[in-house]
Amino acid sequence: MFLIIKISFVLMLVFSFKLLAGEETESKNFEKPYEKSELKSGSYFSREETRAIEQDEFENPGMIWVERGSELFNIKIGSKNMSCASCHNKDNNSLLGAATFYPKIYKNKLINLEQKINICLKNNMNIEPYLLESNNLLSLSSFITHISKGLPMNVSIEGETEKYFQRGKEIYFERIGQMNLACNQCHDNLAGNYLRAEKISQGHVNGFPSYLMRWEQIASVHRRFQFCNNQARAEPLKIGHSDYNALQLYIAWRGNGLLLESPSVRR
Amino acid sequence: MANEERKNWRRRLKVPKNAVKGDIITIKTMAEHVMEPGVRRDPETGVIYPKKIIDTVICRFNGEQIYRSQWYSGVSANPFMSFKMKAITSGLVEIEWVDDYGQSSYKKAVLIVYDKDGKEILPVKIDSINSNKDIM
Amino acid sequence: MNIINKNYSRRKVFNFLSGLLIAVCSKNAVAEFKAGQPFRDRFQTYRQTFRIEPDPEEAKRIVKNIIKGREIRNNLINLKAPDIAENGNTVPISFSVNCSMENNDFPRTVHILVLDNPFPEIAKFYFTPASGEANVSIRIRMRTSSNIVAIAEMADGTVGETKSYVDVTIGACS
Repeated sequence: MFLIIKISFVLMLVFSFKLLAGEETESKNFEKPYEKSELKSGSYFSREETRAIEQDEFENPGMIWVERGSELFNIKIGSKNMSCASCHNKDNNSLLGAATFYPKIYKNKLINLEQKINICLKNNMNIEPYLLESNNLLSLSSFITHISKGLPMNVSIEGETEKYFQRGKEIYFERIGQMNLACNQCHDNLAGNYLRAEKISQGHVNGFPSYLMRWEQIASVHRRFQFCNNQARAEPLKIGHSDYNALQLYIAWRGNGLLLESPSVRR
Repeated sequence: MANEERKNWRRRLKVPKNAVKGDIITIKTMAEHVMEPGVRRDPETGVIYPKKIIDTVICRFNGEQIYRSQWYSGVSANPFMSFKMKAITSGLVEIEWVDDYGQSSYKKAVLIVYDKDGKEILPVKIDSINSNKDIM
Repeated sequence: MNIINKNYSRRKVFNFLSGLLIAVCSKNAVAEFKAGQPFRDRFQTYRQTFRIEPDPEEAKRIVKNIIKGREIRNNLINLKAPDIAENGNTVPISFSVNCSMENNDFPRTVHILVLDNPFPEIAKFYFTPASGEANVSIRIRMRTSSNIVAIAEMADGTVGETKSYVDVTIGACS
């Protein structure tokens, strides 16, 4: 009798160690909702005609902003008479692949590409930074993302970014608004199904800054998040808010491996 | 955001560089324009955004009008239009966008047309110099 | 009585009543704003900017006025439009006219109309024989699911017409 109890006790100990060990490795790896092979970008869920508009470089209306961005990149302005191209040209600092790493940490704060452009303008070129979500800033941001078109997204969550990652994950799974909806309920569990007459996408940000047909201009990720909050009848935050940056980090990590498609055409 | 004043509203034009005589080429145009239809309201104050659209698009080849199009408020914003042209001689393709306040914007491109042998067809006939005695 | 007269002097009564009048009028004005009535200013009366509802009868009358009772030729004009539009703001359509574009066999005008839009006329296109082919693609706005009508008026006086139904839907986020 006692032998049976001892053996069962030993077995329980062994199994509990195994379970504990399992939990530890899980928390290190951060369970992803999609396998790499299951990742589908937003253009998979849109209609043929929209995909045709996005793939033709002339017909894509977002390229208007990319062209304006390339002009703004090369003009010399400010007291130092510098342009972006004076530091970032083909020989050094070429910005190829730069957009795949954002959002990232700069001086202990998480920032995204638009905020980094403003920081560069203020510190290195002594120019007053552009307003967030203004057309000039969006043109520059879509031009810089267009340089890295076709490269896979590669956001890192090591080191200091981990606490922002946890915050982003918290927001993603949190129910908000009058409708009491969380992001994962539709975009993780129900992707591919129809909601009214629209197919739910997996909710990746590899196509941003993208041309949205409902606003007929290029929009940044934060403006799209504001719209998502409005649709769940929640209170939207300001553009550039650190919570939106954290959420963008989580969603970008969730879609790591998808090729950048900016400027994409979405509804 | 949508209604800020800017000077450089962009216009784009795509014309193929070369063509063979008798080919039908595709000309693509795109303009960056809000195309405000005049029925939308500002969500906070209720004031209607006034109507501002591109009215007429004219395509001229070597100064002669070959194609005209009249738009109303139903054309979408940042309008894209593509049409065809028959390549007969080389020349200058010009597109003019006129809006309903009468302001125009232009964009031009050069088209070079070759005949079957590979020689360029010029838009003007150049005779030998000796026959132009009046000019000399 | 004397005390009452001193408290309610004429000036005070007048001030009170005028204040009341202003309050009532401004409240009406604010209510007018909120209800969406147009704000009157000179710019508004100069340009036509008002909201109208779609009128399918008016659209049919416009189509009849363009055709003017002429006989409709078959297979003159093809219209290519998507079955379901992704977004009503940008619906890409294209048409092409089957004709030789020489002598009098070219379309002088092609009209595009959307029958259930508040302003049904979308665009008109004028061609010449130098056009080579009457083949145009354009992006239009549609308010609701409706028929798109393309009418081609040829230079020799004949008319061709074609229709295509496009669904415009409300999606999840709209």
